[in-house]
Amino acid sequence: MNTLLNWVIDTLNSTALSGFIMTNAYLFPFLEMVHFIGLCLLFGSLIVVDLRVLGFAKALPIARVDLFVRFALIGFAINLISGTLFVIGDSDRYLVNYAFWTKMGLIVLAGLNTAYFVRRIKPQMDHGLASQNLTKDAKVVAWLSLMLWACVIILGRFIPYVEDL
Amino acid sequence: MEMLFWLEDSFVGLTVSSTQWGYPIVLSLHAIGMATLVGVALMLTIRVLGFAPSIPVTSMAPYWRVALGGFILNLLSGSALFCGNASELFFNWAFRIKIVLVFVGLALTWRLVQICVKRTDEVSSAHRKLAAIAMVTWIVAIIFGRLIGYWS
Repeated sequence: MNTLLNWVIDTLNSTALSGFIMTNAYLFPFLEMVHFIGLCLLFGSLIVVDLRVLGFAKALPIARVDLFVRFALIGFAINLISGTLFVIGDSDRYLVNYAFWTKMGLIVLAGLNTAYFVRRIKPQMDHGLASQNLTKDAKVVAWLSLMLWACVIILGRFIPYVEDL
Repeated sequence: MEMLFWLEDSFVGLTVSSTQWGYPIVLSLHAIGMATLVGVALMLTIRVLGFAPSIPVTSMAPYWRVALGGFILNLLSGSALFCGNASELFFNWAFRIKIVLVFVGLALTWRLVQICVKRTDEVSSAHRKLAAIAMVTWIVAIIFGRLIGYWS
């Protein structure tokens, strides 16, 4: 496992892209700004959708609120790209970091949670069911979505501070 | 200047600057508050700018309280972070500009909520202009917040 990890790190470090990310003085801060804006889009749109599922803002048509999911996808795409560039640039920092791998694990869980939402909850919302008439798992999915992404943000912030553990 | 050193020597200042987990915990709260405040503000401005016309603008008014919750969280966590490094942050131009931008962004979004989101589904071009300026202000505030560590 460790040799595989070292091979990945060495391979990434030897790429021209990695060298470019780490030597250009403006690129890394620029990517950080982009990553922060992406997380605001992602979390903001999930607040709108998940709180509506939980019964907040009842005047908002529940069959339409999924329009805002689009901005979660845009934010996620922005952060997938900027995040991948962080890892390519500084792989020996990220790929050995516990907070980073826990964050990646939670993103996978959040993705599975979203898949469940799309298959089981969204069809009920499309029929215009009031939030109190949704099946009980809807509330669990909405809370999980908010909690998982909040933890993803927290773990991302912790990455530089768990390096000596 | 003495005041700034006094803040750094206060209980909050020392917890942020000199304990193992004080800084990352408060920093994480600050990131959650930012995602809540700016995230919700962006969604409100996006709607006023014309996205999702099948959703009445006024039906989104309750979310403004959520954004204010994010602001309170960041006023507290931001004050704590400031105490941890007051004597440097106070003279940091990126920090100064960011603080101004945050309060401008908050005032503009507040105004947008008062004259449009809470009041009418008829979005005027003045409403859209205000939404666009508020949106840009939030994005630039985040840019200057990130710059604090790079540019003083």
